[in-house]
Amino acid sequence: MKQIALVFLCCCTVLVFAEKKPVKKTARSLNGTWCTGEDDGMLLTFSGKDTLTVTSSSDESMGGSGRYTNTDSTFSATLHNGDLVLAMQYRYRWKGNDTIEAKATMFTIDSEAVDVPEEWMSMERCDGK
Amino acid sequence: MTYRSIRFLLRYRWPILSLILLSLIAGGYLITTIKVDNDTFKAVPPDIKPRVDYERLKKEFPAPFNILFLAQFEHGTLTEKIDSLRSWRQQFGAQPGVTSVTDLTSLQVPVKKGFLGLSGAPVIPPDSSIDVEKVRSLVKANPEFCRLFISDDEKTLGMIIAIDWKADRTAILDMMTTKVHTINTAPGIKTYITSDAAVSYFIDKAMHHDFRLLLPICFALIFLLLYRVFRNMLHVLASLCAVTAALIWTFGIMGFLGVPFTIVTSIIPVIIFPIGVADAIHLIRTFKTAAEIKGATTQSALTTTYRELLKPCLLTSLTTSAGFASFVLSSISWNKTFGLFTAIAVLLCYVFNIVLLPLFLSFEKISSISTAVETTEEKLLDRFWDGFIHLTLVSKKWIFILPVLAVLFVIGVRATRVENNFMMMLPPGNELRKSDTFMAKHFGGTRFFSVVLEKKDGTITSEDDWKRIDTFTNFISRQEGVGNVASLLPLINRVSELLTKNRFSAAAVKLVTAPGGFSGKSYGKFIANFLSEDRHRTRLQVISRNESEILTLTIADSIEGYVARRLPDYTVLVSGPAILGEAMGVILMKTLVTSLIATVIPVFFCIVVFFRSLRIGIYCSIPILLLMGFVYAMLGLFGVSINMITVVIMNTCIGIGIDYAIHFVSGYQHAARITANRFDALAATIRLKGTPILFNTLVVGVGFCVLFVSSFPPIRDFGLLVFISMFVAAGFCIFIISLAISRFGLPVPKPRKVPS
Repeated sequence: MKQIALVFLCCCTVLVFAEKKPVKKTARSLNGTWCTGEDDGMLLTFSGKDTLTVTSSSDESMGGSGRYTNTDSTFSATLHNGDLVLAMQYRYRWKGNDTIEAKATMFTIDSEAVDVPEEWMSMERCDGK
Repeated sequence: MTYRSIRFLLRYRWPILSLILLSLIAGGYLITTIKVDNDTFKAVPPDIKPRVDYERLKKEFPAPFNILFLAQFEHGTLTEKIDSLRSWRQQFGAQPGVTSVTDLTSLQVPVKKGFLGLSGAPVIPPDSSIDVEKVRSLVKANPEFCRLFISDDEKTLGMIIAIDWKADRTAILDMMTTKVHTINTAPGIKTYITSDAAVSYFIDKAMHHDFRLLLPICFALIFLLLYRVFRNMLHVLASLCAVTAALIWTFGIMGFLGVPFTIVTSIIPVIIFPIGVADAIHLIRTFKTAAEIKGATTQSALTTTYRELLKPCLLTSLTTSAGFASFVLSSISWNKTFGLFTAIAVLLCYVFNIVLLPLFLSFEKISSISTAVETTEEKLLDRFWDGFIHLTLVSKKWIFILPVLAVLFVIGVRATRVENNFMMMLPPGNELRKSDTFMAKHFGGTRFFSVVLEKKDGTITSEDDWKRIDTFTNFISRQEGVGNVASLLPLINRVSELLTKNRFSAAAVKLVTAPGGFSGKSYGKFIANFLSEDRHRTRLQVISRNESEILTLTIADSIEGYVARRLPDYTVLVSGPAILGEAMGVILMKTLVTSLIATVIPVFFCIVVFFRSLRIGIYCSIPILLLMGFVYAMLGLFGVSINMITVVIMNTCIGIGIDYAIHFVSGYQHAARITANRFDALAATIRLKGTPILFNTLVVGVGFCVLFVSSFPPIRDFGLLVFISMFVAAGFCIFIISLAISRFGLPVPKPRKVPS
C-alpha cells in the first residue's frame, strides 16, 4: 500500500511539474505589445515567431517594422523604414511577468555602428492600452 | 458758350443740385463697401523675380504665419521667468487658430535614450521645482536650439506662435495685443509681439486712428483759412462742398471697382482738400472782383469769372492730375492706385467747382458782397512784393542764391536713401518697432531671407553633402550684417554627436534625412522646414541686422557667387521678405524716375499747347526742374528716406507747383495787354498775382501741415516736405519766370473778341 501511495505521489509530482512548466514559458514570451518608459508613446509589438513592429500611440507618422530573434537574455532586431535599416542588439532581464529591463549592446544605422545608451531601459507589457 | 452754360446752370439749379445729391448718396453707399487691405506684400509687383522666387519658396517649404512674442524681465529668477512663459504659452495655445506655440518649455531636443537609441526630450523638464542652476545648465547645453528663445543675459525670453493661415488673424492679434498690454501693467515685465505679417495689422490700426484724427483737423483748418480769405460763410461752404463731393465720388468709384483702401490711399482726402479749394479760391475771388463792377449781376459776374479762369483752372487741374496720374506707370500697386484716384479726385474737384460754385453763388445777392478794403496784412504784403520786385527785377543779389542751392542739392542728393523695410512705415513707439529693436539687439536681427540649395543630381542625404553645406553656412554667417543662420545642421550635428561623438556621421545624416523615418512628426515638421520632401533641396534661413547700410542684395550676390564657385553641383535661390523689401527699393527708384518723366513731359506739353508758346513751356519748366532738385536735396537733408509714401512727394510738388507758374504767366499776359512796358507789366503781375498765389500756397501748405500729426513717420515727412516745397515752388515760379521774362521777353497774344 505504501508503495502504491509512493508511486501515485511520484506520478502526481511529475504531472504537476509537467503541467506547470509550459505555463511559465508562455508568461515569459515577448509576444504582445510593450510600452517603453523612455519613449513617449512608443509601442513595440512582437508577433508571430519573429515579427517586430514599432509604432507610437502619440504619433501615427512614426514607425518601422522588421524581424527579431531572442534568447533568454539577449534580443536582436533589424528594423526597416523606407531605405533606412536599423539593427540592434539588447541584453534583457525579466522584472516580473510583465516588465522587462533592457540595455542596448549594439546599434547600427545602415551598417554603421553607433554609440548606444548606457542606461537600462524599462519596458512594460501594455496589450490593449 | 460760357454765358449759355452759366445760364443753363442757374436756370436748372434745383434739378442739378438734386441729381448731385442723389449721386452723392449712391457714392456714400459705395464707400461703405470699400475693404481695407494693408498687406504690404500685395504692394509688391507680382511679376518681379524676387516675388516669383518668394512664391516658389513658399510652395516648396512651409511658411506658416508666425508671431514672435518677447518678454523682457527686469527681475526674477530664471525659473520664475520660465514659469510665466509656460503660463502664457498655455493661454496663447488655447486660442482658436493657434496651431502651435514653441518656447523653452516646449522645445524638444534629441537625447540618447529609448528603444531606438535616440529620443526627443524637452530642454526644460516640466517639473516646476527644478533649480535655477540646473535650468541654466540645460539652456547652455543646447545653445543652437535655445538661441531664438532666450537672450544671453537671460532677461529676454521668446516664444513663437504659429497660426493657421485660414484663422482670423485680426482676432488673434487683438487677443495678443490685449494680453501684452495686460502683462505690461505688471511692474518689471515688458512684453512685445512682432511678425512680418503683423505689419499690416498695425498699419490698419494706426491708419484708422489717423483717419479719424487727420480728416476733421484738415477740414477744420481749411474751413478757418477759407473763412479768413473769403469772410463769407456761403463761399466757404461752396468751396468745401465741391471738394467733399469730389471725394465722395472718388471713393465711391473705388468701392464700385473693389479697389482696396491702403495706407497710401488714406492720404488722398488730406491732399485733395487743399488742392481742391485752390481753384475755388481763384474762382470766388475773381467773382467778387467782377461783382464789384457797377451794374453787375450774378450771371454777368460768373460769366466774366469763367471766361477768365475756366481754362487756366482746367490747365492747372490737368497738370496736377498728370502729376499724380504718372504713378499709373508704377509697378507698385499701392502707388498706382494712389496716383490714379488722386488724379481722378483732382479732375472731379475741377468739375464740381465749375458746377457747384455758380449754384451756391446764385443764392447770394450781388449787393451783399462786400467791397474790398485794404487790410494791414495786405499793406504788409504790398511791401513784401515791392521788396521781391526789387530783388528780382532791379538788384543782382539773387545771383548769390544759385550757389547756395547748388551746394544744398549736392549735399542732399548724396544723403538721400531708399527705405526698403515695410516696418519703418510704423511709428517708432509702435509695439512692432519696439519688438524689432529688441530682436535686433538680442537675437541678431529681424530681416529674414532664405537660401535654398538644390542639388542638380541626386539627393542631399550624404555626409559629404552636409559637410559642404556646413562650410557654406559658415561662409554666410561671416557676411557683414548676418546675425544668424538657421538650418538642419544643428540637428544633424547633435544627433551625430550622440551617435558617434563626431559633428558629422553618415549614420546621423541618414537618420535625420530619411524620408518618413523613426523620428516622428514633431521632428518631421522641423525637418520639413529645412529639407524638401524629395530631399533635393535644403533651406538655410538667414537673419540679418536691420540696418540701412546692410544690403541683403549684396549678401545674396556673395552667396550666389560662392555657390557658383564652390558648389557647382548645386543651384541656389536666395529669397525672402528682406530680399523682397530691397527689391522694392529698386522699384521705388524706378517709380520715382518714371513718374517724374511721365509728369514733366505731359505738363510741358499741356503748357505749350494751352499757351501756344514753346517759350512759356520752357519758362514754366525751369522752376519745376529746380523744384525737383530742391525736393530731392530736402529728402537727404531732412534724413527722409524714399518709400512707398514719400515717393509721391516730388510729383505732388510738381503737380501743385506748376499751377503757380500757369497763374503767373496768364496774369502777365493779362497785364502785358494793358501796359506795354515789360518791367511795369511784370511788377503789376507780381503785385496782382503774388497775393492769390501766396494765399493758395498757404492754404495748400497748411492743409498738408495736418499730416504732421499722423502716426506714420513717412506721412509726417510727406506733410513737412510738401509744406516747405509749396512755398519754395511759389517763390521759384514767380522769381524764375519774372527773371526769364525780364531778360528774354514773352509774346503776348492779342485779346479775343468778347461777345456783347
